[in-house]
Amino acid sequence: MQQSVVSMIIFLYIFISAALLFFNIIYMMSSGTKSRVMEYRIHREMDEQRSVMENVPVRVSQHYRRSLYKKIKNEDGLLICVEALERNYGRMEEDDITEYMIACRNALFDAAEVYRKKEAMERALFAYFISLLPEKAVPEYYRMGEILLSYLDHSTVYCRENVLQALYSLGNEDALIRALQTFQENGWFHDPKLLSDGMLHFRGDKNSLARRLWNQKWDEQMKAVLIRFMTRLKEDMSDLVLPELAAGHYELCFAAIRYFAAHINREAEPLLLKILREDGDTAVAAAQTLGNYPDEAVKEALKEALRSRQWDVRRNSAESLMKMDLSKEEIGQLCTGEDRYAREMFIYVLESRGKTGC
Amino acid sequence: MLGALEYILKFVNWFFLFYLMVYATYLLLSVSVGAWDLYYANKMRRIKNEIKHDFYFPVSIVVPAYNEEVTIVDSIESLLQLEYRLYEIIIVDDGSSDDTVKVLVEHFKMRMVHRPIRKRLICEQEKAVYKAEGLRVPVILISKHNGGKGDALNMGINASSYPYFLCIDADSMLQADSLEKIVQPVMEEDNVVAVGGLVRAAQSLKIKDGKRVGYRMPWNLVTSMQIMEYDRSFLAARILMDRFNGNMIISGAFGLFKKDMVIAAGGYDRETLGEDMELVVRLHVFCRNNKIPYSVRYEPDAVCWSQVPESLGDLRKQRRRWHMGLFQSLMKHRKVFMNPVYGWLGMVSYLYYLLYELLSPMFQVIGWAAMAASAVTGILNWDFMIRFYLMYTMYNAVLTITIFFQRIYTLNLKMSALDSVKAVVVCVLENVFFRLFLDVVRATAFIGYGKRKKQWGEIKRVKQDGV
Repeated sequence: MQQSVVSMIIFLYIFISAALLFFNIIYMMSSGTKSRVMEYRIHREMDEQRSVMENVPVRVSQHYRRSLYKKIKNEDGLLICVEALERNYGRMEEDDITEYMIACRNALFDAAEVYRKKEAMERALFAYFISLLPEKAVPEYYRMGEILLSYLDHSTVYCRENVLQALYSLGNEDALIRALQTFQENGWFHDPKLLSDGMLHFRGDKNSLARRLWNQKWDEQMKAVLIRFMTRLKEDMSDLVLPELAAGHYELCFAAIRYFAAHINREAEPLLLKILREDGDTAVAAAQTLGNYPDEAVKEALKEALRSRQWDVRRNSAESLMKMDLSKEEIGQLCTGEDRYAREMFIYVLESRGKTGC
Repeated sequence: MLGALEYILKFVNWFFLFYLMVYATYLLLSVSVGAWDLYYANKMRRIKNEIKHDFYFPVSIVVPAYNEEVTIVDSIESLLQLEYRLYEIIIVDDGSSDDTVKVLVEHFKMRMVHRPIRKRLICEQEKAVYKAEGLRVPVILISKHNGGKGDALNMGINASSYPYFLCIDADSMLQADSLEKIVQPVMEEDNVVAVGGLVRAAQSLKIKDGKRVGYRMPWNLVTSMQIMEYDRSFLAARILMDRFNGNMIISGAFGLFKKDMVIAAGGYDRETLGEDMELVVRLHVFCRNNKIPYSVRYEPDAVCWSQVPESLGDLRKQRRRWHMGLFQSLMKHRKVFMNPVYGWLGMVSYLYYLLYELLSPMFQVIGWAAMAASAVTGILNWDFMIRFYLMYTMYNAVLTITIFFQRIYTLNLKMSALDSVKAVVVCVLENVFFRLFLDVVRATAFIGYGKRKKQWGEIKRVKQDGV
């Protein structure tokens, strides 16, 4: 009796495994066929898009818009359009694509409403489609930002990233600010680097965006993201960032120090020196940034910092000192100093710069 | 007396049957979950649900090496082909007795530098530090006194400049996109402290400039059976355990770690043979004890091609070493066992590794021997025993074939018809003979255990070009 139960179970498992194997084989074969069919449909769609783009006023009729809407309201159709459009970017003039996308906007707005009710992965695909818009077509799609915001409900990290990409492409400040507020309110993690680098793709006025964002209420992590974004902008926003040097929050202070490495501001120098002398967690960044502030006071502070208890501070101080005009006498002093760590670090940095003097 | 023997044999038989049935159920469940996850991930990528970025974050690649003069140059060359913006390569020679240092210095035209190394983790003293010039990424070679693999890894971490480090075996090769793939979980989720990738047998691969140019089943049975075994173990255990943050192993051949967390946890254990597993378990324990939110992830699309032993002798050495490492790790962290403080890790993962990895060879050898003895003494009929063995083996073979072909498909590998037939034959052979051989090897792993502490598991290397 017990032996037959064991046999039964094993038989059942073999049957399930065989079914799994069978399913896998069928899936692999069918997906091979499916991808060939998809490729064929993408090529057909590319040809169709190109022929329509050649004479948009005539060929984008009410009928065409309706058929486009029907096509893109399901996942496969949308994927085909996305792939075809991406490939056509290299083959068609951007003006033709712009004219086409503007003429088709009603179909896309209608489809955007349909995608509101779909799964997060499908919403992500639609948002990706919007991120492909040519720059000149963006004003016609500005209000799409509002619809995209609703895609954030019950979303995945991929959906959120694609929505942000779409909002950067649209250059819609209001929608982007609201999207980021939604992130913060819901406590969603989004990699800070993705955020700060992503904002650089914003198609509107980046300086205005930075100032408007700064005036909102954010947690420290988001403020650090904003400072990193400002660091990459040309406009000087030292007035906003300077108070953060003394704010005491590690990430914020760190981002602010980095900011003043890219945007030299003598008002920041005393604060940077103070951070270096306090030899806390952020001293390592201060030691590096001060390399861009060459003067006697900084030089002396950096020499002192060569004896820091922190290895990274010693290394960065040595590297910063290398950027300054050190006399032969000064180099000799540092090479023969009493502090072994300071000496070793300085000699290594000197050597790696291909300099001599010790 | 005979009555007592019969009672014991019956008990062992039924316990063994129950043990195998639980494993069969677990395997089926994990393969089904793994298959679903892989197909889902494929679909996500197809419909643009992925995080793409021009610049992720800088990574230090740490390559510990011991007597690797045959393969080390190819491995480093493959690392130089990675499609990744910012990374450095740190090779740590652990006092090799061959020309590992010499071939590296000559091939990459390295020069000696007086680079101070901050010893945040304990390791043996360095003998010399070399630096390569003119390459697209910084390549540092540290020659140090012998201290074992964990010690070499600690040295690499000490010398690394970036916040994440990737450890990779010196005989392994990465695909051009492997680094980009393995950092994905860190971009997607906060608190990721470690990510493991998929390790496959390099002998089945032809690679050029970091790109796969061919895939085939080697004629060497020892190698090809390991290909099956690797696929099964990665799909069967890692994906399911990833669901509940319960992965206890990240292969030393390919794993990404958050440096600060590893240093805070004390780095690699220099005394343990399975330093890779021990570190992962310690990270779990450290984070849970200190109430640090964390996750250990597995990324099946990040692939590393690592050389597997080609002879039974080398394989035996390697598996004994692994098994002792498993034993040391589990014993060292025995407080995790069935401890609710450690959640699923203690209640499921630890139990799995204890029963189905560490004790499995003993159970298998004793179990099959007891069944044979029962059949000889008439307690069990031969017919049932043979039928059961064949059915169980067939079940495992079918599951292994499913897993293998699924990985071929999801990794977009192309195989010839001949290789497919070979794969099916190898799947059967692997389940009939190879697993039994490994069970015997692992069951006897503890004999002479004390003598091999801190030794590197050397296996004969072949140049990848020769594949």
